[in-house]
Amino acid sequence: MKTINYGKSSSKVTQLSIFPKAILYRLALGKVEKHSKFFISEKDYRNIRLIGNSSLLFFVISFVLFHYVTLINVPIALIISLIASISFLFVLSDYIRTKILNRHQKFEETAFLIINSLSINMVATQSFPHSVELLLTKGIKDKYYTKYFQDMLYSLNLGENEDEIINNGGKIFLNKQYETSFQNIKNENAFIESDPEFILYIRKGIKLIEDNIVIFIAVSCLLPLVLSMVLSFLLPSNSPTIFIFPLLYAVFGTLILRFMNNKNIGD
Amino acid sequence: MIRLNCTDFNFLNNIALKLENGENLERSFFLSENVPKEILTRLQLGENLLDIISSIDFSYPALRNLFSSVDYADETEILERVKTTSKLIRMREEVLKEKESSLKIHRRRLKIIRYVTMFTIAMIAGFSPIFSNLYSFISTGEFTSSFSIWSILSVSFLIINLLNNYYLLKMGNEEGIKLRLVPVILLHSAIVVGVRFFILNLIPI
Repeated sequence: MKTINYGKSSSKVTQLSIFPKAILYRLALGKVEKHSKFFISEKDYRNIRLIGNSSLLFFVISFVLFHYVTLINVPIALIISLIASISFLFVLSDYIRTKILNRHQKFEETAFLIINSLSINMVATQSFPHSVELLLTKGIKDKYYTKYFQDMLYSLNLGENEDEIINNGGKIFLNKQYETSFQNIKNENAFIESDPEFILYIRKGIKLIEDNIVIFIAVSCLLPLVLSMVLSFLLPSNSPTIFIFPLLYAVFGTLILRFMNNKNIGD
Repeated sequence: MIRLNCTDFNFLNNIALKLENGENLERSFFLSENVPKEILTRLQLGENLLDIISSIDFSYPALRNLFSSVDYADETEILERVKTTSKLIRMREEVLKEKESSLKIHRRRLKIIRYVTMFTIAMIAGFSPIFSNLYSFISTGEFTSSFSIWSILSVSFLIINLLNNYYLLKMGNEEGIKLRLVPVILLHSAIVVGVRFFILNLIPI
């Protein structure tokens, strides 16, 4: 069975991307692109391309605005509009990133129940296709699981090799323990009796917040305060150059959030 | 959707215990004490048990899958597995609660910091005309720019304030962030306007 990816499954929507797609996705999604690849839908990709294209538009508009309307010289106008477009790209793509991460987390939280009910069904029915069918008839709330198992059942009914499907089907869980459990679904030891990894994961998240909260608070308190002091002391109060400070702060803040997220998902 | 009046773990464990005593799934619903009355009435009216189960609002929605083969065979192994799964759920609920309580402490801290920085930034924004005119005021004794309330400077202060609040809220894993930013706009504007009026009364221009 081929591994299904929701990034490619829906209808082909072609949209021009001014930036090279690989670089754009890498910039916008970072580590998430690899970590939650399965959960990035075509719509997310489309939105990222849209953000990428409009950030270029944003760059042009802000350059025109700063250079021709407020009459500052070219290098400064370039720097300001560059910062503006980068912060536009960062902040908006972070929104998509968090959405993908949340989707993935919700999915992983129910993984053990899916495997356990599958293995219970296996004990009762002694047939893999039948257990998948039972799993589906009860209605899984998660639409990703539903689609995944529907596709699996479909290829099972088509007569594809069952062992191969079981072997490849575990990849969806992205967790070694669950993956091997799923691959052993025909044996007795597939049942998940404890999941220390989940507890460790949550504990790690708690520790991460506790360790980094001081840094975060320091940055998020001091940076805006210092920025606003500098702003009010040095700059005339009606020059649009001032907008560079909130934009810079937006980039910094998003980068810190992103750093925390990356640490949380990384090993 | 019907909400249970107990945790998922308790519900599952009760049902498993009743099943273990040789009852069938329907009867174990009747016998277990923490099943809402609504479900029992629907059962008495003869509604399909599977439909009822899928209308229960579990905190783990995948839980209803566990029942898919309970009525299939009454093997003790299945019951054993249901019970183990319910134990797993309890362990997860415990660790999530632990996380919740440790986040709560941080949330309180973040809240204080959020309010303090919000007020400070808004105050600086209010006093900013004095700061920005400081040099001209010292040398000539006059303010060069006017004290209008809506300048580009005050808009950028508002953006900084909003961003600061947003990041702190996000750090605390709070819900409804967008809604919480509305009072920030109002408070910020109120403080700025208040401070400006104060300055205007203090310094005759």
